[in-house]
Amino acid sequence: MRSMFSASLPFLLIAAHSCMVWKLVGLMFNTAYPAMVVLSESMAPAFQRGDVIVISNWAHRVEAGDIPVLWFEGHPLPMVHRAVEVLHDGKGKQLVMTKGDNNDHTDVALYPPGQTYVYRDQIIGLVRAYVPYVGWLSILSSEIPWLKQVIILGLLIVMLLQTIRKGDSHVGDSQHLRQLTILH
Amino acid sequence: MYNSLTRIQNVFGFFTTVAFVVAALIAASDFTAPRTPSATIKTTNVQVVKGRPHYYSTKKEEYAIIRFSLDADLSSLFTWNTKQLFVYVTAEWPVAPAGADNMNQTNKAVIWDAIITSPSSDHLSNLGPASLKKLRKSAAGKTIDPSRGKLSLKNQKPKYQITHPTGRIAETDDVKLHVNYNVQPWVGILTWNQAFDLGRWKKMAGGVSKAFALPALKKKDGEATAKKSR
Repeated sequence: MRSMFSASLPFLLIAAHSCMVWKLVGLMFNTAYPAMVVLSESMAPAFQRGDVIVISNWAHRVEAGDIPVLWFEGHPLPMVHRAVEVLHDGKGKQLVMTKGDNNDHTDVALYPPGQTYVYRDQIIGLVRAYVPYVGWLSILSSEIPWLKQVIILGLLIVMLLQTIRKGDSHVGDSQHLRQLTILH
Repeated sequence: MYNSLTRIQNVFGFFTTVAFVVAALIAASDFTAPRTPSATIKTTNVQVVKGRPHYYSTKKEEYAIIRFSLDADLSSLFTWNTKQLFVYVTAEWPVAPAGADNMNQTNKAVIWDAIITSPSSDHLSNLGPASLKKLRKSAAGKTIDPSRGKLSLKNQKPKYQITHPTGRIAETDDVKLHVNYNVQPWVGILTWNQAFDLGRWKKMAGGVSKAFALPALKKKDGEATAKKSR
């Protein structure tokens, strides 16, 4: 029983460490989602499916040419497109128009009904850095229905094997000890 | 005690560490390559017409069509880590100061943009098979092709006609065209044109047009629809 818990410890540590690092990086970049996996081809050839983008939310002003991540209330997923217009209405509010590099038209049709521009508070950050390909594991585990279960099953089997191994070695220890005491 | 599982774990851990360090070194190598971009841009024809945002809209808005000539040398931005270069021309004009909130704000709108891929990312561009073949041939087997960064456009029609949320853009003063770029790396941070020199990276020499004013609405008998929606 105890050996099973101690066998699961490395995995629990990895999970806890990942959670801590994620939250710390989120604080560093002032956003709840400091890294995201690209899911669509709307920003090709810059971003492909499976790429990871790093997001920072410190800039208050969006500039034309930046790449904001838009997440509207109630939408399940955010959109990552380029800001093609940043205009100000008479009251000092920033109005941002976005368009995917690979799209011919601006995103007005994709905004919530009645909205023709995006506001700064609907932007959860700007893309600042990029790493290709490493997001594929995340895409595969959400799109192939059995993959997550298979990975968890694999980890459980590994844990079980390590428990059995440890059990064997403990048996060996006690035999070794008995031999030592007899000799003495 | 070592078994195959421990060995696999060690190898995988080492692989991850090495991959991370190599990626960090590649990203850092961006800062060692000098950048010396330069550009000259001037407007050749500016008009303001009345139009609709799209065919079925009932809103009538004013759109500015700004034709320009551009000569740019952005070849130093192409390094082994450059995936693509996004070049864009913005029209910028200051916000009329109506109150304390509006101090020092500029309206910016992109009127033209272009994506210049590096030969290493040609296969990812959105071209059909014939143009892709031509693009690949133009690189002539080189893995980095800085000559793609040299641009020369004469009386270029803008890709986008710009307007303001109020629908009025005619007779706006102090409009300037700016040439900007965004370097997309294979791995590392995305960089834009900077307003100051940073180590080996020089700020853009030139790249701003003279200030001009958007004219009054063109007087026509019929009214034109802005054909190209953005």
